Amino acid sequence: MEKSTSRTIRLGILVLTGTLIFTVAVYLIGQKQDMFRNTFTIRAVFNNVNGLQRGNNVRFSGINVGSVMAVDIQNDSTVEVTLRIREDVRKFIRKDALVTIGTDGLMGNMLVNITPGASHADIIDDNDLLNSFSRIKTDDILKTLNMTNENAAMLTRSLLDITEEIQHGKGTLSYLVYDTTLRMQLYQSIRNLRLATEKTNSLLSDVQLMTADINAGKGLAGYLLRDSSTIMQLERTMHNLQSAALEINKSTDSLQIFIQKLNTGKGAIPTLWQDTTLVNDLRSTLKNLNQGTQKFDENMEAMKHSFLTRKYFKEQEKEAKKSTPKN
Amino acid sequence: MKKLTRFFLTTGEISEFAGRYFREAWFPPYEIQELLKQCFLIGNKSFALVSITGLIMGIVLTLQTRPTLIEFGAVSMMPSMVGIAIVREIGPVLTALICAGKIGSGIGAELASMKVTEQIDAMEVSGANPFKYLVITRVTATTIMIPILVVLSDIISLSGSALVEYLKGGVSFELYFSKVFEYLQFGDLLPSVIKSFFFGFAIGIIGCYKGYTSTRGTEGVGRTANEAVVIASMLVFILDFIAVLVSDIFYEL
Amino acid sequence: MSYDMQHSIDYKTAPVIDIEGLYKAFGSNRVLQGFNLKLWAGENLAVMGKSGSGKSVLIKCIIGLVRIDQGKLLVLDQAVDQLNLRELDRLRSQIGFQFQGSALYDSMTVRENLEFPLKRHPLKQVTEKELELLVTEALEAVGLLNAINMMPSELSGGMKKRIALARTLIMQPKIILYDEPTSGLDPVTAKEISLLINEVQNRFHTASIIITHDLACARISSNRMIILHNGINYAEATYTQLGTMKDGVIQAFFV
Repeated sequence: MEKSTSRTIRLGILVLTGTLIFTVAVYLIGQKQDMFRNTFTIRAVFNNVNGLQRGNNVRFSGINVGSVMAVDIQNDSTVEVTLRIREDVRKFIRKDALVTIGTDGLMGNMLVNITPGASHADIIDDNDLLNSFSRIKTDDILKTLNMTNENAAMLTRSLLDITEEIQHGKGTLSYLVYDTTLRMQLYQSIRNLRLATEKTNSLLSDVQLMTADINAGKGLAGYLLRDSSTIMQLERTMHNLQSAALEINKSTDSLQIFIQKLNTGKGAIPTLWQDTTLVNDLRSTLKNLNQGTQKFDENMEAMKHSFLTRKYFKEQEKEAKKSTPKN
Repeated sequence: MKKLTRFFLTTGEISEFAGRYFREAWFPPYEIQELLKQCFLIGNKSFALVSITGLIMGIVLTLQTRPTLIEFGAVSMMPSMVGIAIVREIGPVLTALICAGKIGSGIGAELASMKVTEQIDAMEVSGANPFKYLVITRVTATTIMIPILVVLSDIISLSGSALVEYLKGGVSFELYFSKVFEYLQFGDLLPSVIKSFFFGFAIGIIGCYKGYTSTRGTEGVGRTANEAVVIASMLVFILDFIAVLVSDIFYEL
Repeated sequence: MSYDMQHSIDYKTAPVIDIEGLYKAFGSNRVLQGFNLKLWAGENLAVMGKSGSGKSVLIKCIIGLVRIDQGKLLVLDQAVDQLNLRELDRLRSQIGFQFQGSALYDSMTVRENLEFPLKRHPLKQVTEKELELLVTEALEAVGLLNAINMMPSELSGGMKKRIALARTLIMQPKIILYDEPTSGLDPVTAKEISLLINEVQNRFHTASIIITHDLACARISSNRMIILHNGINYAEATYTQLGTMKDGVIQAFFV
């Protein structure tokens, strides 16, 4: 009898151990699925759930707070996802929280993320419908990434060609890169260029007016220049001058935008051009340009004093004097 | 042709035998003492064997998969991978096969020798029901005890695997088991426990059938034990296959 | 001598076992072909025959272990072949059966072996106290009270036979069927067993069929003998009467 009792005790220990382990395992798995805890449900509607399944985790700010209870198709374009959330996190989820579908790692399980919204909304109620946001799938990300990659490859290849050319002394850029003395005044020259072109502009409009007067036979110059062949020549010169100035205007404008972009550091180019020497080169070029336009300025000034056009300029001044007191 | 006929005959007889178990198991007298004794003999006496094989299986599986997982940079997946492999498949099948060898042959040989020495007849003649006393107790005992052994074997296998991870990867036991349970689902645990019941029943019923219908004297005892092991092991694999198919259907739902 | 009739056998009442025209075949092997047998209350009947002559089959038919093909088989006025399992169990609890190899339950002690049928008695509930009393009583009857806690593997052949007899007696049967009670025993022990059978008959007033090919045993333990030959009761008489018959088949046993 004693033998059988001890045997039964040992059997009992074995059975209890086994059952206990089984129960603990069931509990641990169940706890993960929130079966034995107080929970509440919320809902969200998506266009596409990307393979989300019953039992997938729900994360709030990156913490597992529940699981997906059901995924139901509502109609041809909407899928309703019901989430079971732990009761104790209810106080943190507000009505404006955003629900997204994501993956756990690059190739992990699907999961639902609840991102907290602004903190002044009301706390969520049972069966509330939360805002959802369908994020791009990993597939799409990878597709875009692939495109970007290809572009980057192409870019670097051309860049490689360019740098090679620069190194071998081909093109203007190489000149800019390797002539260090020119680089220093780039910024200044842009400003000068702008000023210069502005001046050129005003000058040119003066010239335009003057030529109009001449054409109308006003002043001495007009009188003198009745000879049509001379007028034709002058006209052509002036026209050329005008178009040249316009050209300069245009090019300086675009150069200005370019340089501004450079300075504010927007776009892809400035990051490539972090090399300050290159920028400086550009600046000195512009300075030269500036000097060029200054000379042009001087030329124009000289023209004011030439015997042919002096009369015109003077009349202009007079008119200006007359009009100012009136105003 | 003769072999095929015998195969069908055996299948039919086993089915009939199992049917008799279900017909008679519900009605008294219940042989509780004998049932407990058989549970002890099947459970406790096999526990050491099942633990050792389980432990070694856990260790070996982890050691063998480690290099591959390291190559993929997925060594942190080890607990979930080994956990699922052991709980879903290796634990139940390994335990069932060991029990088919140990318990199936034991029951087969015991009942065969009782049959040969007319002990079963003696029971029948004395008005006791030998089927209830011998077959129902043993089959019930295997059906109850093998799932318990499977659960114990699972946890021991996982401990072995955790030990390897601890020694080689510096993974703490707590982290290991929390990762195992993070990945495990009811869909992994329940089908494997349910199929263990079937394994247990199959082992018991085959051992008893072979023993109970043994003939040819003492020579038949050895043959019976052998056949019981072969048929029970094969049945374990067949049942496992069916169980996987069935649980797959439920898993889809 | 002890084998002489010491108690009354009532040949006028209905026999406890009544067999007429019993047929039993295993495939093409016709074992019993119209066998007749009558056993009266309190009588010891020895059935003698060669090995394979169907002696064992006969008593297995009586106890219901082997289904008969044809014939009348009444045991305690019940047709064995028409009983359901429960009725058969009830009938069996009144019949003791002694197996050739004793058939003691190897996994149990002597005490448990004796308690086993009693605890599962289909007719009566036995309390622990009664159980203890009956076990000691039965062991005393076979003279092996000291073996109560031994395992069958620790017992000699003769002791096993005695324990098996005790296990039969504990059920207080009306009929005891002995299958080769002296086989595998030395002549001295065989004689002891034969005397024990006789003693049981006198003490418990049981009727018995003793299947044997051991003439000494039959002589000591039985009141009447049947020679089973070619599936029929070839001869039926007392030991002394058979000894005087000039038939070759019968004389073969008396060599």
